[in-house]
Amino acid sequence: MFSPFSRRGFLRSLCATLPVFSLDQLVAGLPLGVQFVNVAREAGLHAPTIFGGERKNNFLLETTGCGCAFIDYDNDGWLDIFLVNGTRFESEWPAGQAPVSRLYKNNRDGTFTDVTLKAGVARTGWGQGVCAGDYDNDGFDDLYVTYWGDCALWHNNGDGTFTDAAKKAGVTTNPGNGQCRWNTGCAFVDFDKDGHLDLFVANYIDFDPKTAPLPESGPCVYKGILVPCGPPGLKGGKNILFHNHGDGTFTDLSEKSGILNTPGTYGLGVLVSDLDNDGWPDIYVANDSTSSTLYKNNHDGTFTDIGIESGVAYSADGKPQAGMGVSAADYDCDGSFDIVKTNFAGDTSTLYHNQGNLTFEDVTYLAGLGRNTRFLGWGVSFLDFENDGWVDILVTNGHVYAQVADTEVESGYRERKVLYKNLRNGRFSDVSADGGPGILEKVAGRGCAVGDFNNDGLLDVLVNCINDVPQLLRCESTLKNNWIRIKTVGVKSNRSGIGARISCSTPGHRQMDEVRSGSSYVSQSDLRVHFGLGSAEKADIEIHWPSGVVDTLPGAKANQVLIVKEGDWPRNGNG
Amino acid sequence: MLVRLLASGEPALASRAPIDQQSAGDADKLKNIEARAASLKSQGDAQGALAAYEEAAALDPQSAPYQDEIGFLMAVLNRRDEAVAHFKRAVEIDPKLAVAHYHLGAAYWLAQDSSAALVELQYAVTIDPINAAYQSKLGQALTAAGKYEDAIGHLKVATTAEPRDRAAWNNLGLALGKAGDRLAAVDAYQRVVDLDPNSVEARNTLGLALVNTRQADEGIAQFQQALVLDPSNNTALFNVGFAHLQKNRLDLAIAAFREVIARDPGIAAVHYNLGVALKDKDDVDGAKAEFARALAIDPKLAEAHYMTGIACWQSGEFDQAATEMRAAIQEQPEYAAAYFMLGTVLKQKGQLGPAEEALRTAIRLSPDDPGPYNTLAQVLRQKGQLDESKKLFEEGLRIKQKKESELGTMLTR
Repeated sequence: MFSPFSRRGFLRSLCATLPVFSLDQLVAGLPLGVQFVNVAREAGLHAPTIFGGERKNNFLLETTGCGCAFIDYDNDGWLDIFLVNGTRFESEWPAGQAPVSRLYKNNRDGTFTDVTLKAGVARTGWGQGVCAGDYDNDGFDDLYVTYWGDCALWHNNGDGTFTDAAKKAGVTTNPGNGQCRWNTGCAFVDFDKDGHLDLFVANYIDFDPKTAPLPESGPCVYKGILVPCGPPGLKGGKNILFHNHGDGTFTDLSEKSGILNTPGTYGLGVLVSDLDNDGWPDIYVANDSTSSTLYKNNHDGTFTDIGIESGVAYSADGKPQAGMGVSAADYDCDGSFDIVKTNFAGDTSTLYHNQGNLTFEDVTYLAGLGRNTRFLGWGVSFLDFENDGWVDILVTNGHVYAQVADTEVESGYRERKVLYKNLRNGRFSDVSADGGPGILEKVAGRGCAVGDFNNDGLLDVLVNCINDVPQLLRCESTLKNNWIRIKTVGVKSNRSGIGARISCSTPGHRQMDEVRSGSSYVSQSDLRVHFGLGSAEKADIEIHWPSGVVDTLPGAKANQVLIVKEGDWPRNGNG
Repeated sequence: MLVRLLASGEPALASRAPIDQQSAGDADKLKNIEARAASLKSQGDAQGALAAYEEAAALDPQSAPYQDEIGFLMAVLNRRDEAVAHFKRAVEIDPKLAVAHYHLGAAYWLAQDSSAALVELQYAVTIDPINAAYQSKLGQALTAAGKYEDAIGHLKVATTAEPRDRAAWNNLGLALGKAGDRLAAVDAYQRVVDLDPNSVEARNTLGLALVNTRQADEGIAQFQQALVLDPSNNTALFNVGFAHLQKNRLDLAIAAFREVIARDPGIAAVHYNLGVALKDKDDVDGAKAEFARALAIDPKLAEAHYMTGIACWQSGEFDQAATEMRAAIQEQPEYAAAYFMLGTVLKQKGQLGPAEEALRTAIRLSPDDPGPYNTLAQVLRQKGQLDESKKLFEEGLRIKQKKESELGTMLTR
């Protein structure tokens, strides 16, 4: 059990920097009982994410921003932070000053130390997303970072350092013809259940700045403003599936697996989840400006895109959407994972309810998510911010086009978040106004990740902002609900336990979730699976591993992190 | 138009009765009568001038110009049926009397017989192709008949011959806009404003043309100039709101619409557009209230029913959404988007049969929209009709890819 530092002391220091709120307001006057407060500065997250021109962008590459990750890279039980970074076309960076992706080590007192250089992960480029998974099963989670250009596979050496093994492993995504692939969302996934994590990488647009159209060429306009062209009209990229041989190397199985049967699409957010409860991971890709893709796992090394017929490709009225981020959870506790996806401004976020048999119904309006259309959504996550056992939804927003910052376009460039509370009846309520200053602060948000960085049992949120410092939204609560968190350690299954399905039962209530790599908008949340328990003091935990092994932990005590090794708690009770 | 002709003192006689058919005494008498008639006409005495020409026509009943003059003056005196009879008599006597054809065409135009008007105006232009007024009127009539390309040709001749003819430039702008050449329409309307900078109507028209060609700020400048000329002009103020709405400056749009409503709460279109702006701000309840006000003023405003339906759908009020879509369709039976939304809502209510019917209608009315194909395919899939569902998905995909391909062609052009 880990002890959180003084909450009251932290809040006092926070009030010194936020004169708008008094301590009494923060602690006692919370209509929700919960609020989020941005503590990034105090935590030491000072480096801004640089990404494209600040006021004007010529190309979409300058707009998509970066992902972020909560990852316990040193296995000390405290979440560390990885923030992907970008660059600019116009800039010539002096030596040592080029923007680099950053790794921050958790100091366990609410602050972080930048260990980027020490860890060896400083790299400049048009960084996009990040996903985590122990691809070589050595007990330390590795990171895959996507780029426009060659990707990086940061092998965790287990000693606080990383080595880029992308080339050696065969996952650089370099097509070898001088072109650059635009890699975006990624996820580690053991698609063939051989115990080794494979890798899926979405691709966005076939982009070459030498030939890409400029805003004036269309002209490409948004609300009368000249903006970067695309994606419609530009050639879509092709997604990639790498198969892990188990020896540190991968082979590109994109064609053989059937994922190239879907025409070039504008892939962004990636979700891996067993959506049809058949024990095999499926892959959903939120595509921009076209139908989204659902690759159903055929169990034989191949996939079939059933997005359109399953009902998750389009909006409720059959239209393609500009999909960005995606997350999954069983929000109504009916035993199937549902999907939430963010979209462009002028559209809502989309909530697809899993009806079973790989059929989904768009329940956006029925569920209460239909009234917000003015925001442009990116990172999204299901998270139980109240710990009441029912997952809620957080959406991170920010406009695409830097040009709108100088206009009076309604939503503006910097936008607040939207927080939806699960009402436990299939509907959600927009509680953003009561979510605290971290929700209401306007930023140009992109990727977001969820995790409890201070181990107080409350889920916090990390947000990567474009041309700005990140946000670290600490969750504060007066609700005193219980929780439990499970860290999986695979033995027959992949070491990270990715793909393991975990159910959590308390009297009269059963939840479930999966260990997932990727999701949100090109980001990585804590691999540990969190359940809010409400007032329950114990829970019955059951883990179905990808290998088929089932572990059960009846009567697990609340308010702890359980480290469960595969096979240590078999169903017959001989643990 | 005929009144303007009278006031401008246009020459009435294009030709005279053949002298060899008259006695010398009659000829002198006719000269005097003509002079008297012209004088009376120039003084604005239509009744007196009519009497004089009738006297002249009695002496020379085969004079086409006299018949034409009589017809013209009768039209001025609002004796339109009689005027038409005299114009017809004039062209019977002299089929090459261009002005008579022109007047007859104009008379038919005023009587809203556009087919007959077009015939006569075409005759006038054929006989006298350099007459700017004939070209202008024919252009106007062709525009009204939907023959925009033909209209543009004639109106260009008119404005070249008479560069100061505001009406011709205005009509040219209208025809160009209808034909899809919006930028050229802007140029034409700009000429109208150049010729008459104090015309509020011209400023409003130019402003709207600018807004419709994505030059909203320039359009707003015209509307604001119109408001300087006439601060009480609600049309200009409404147009300011509309331009801001186009540019998504919702707060400014809302402020403008609210000011118009404060001055005149009885304009349905203003309430409707205010509702649209509020809905774009996600003030769904406010939007519904404004759409309701629009409908209270104009229950036949199909778009307001449609947008109310959309707002209800967004709020999860599916029953009310369906009701509103049906109301929209009742007012506008070919409303493809309303059928599409009705089908979508019914599908979400689980009413698959009625959903299918509505979606099939949407496809029939708008076969190039992939949306209804996809939604209908989902309905059929739920009904177990998998083969047809698959075909519809494929068709929807084909249409979508075609549209994307066209867009790609545009970008690489």
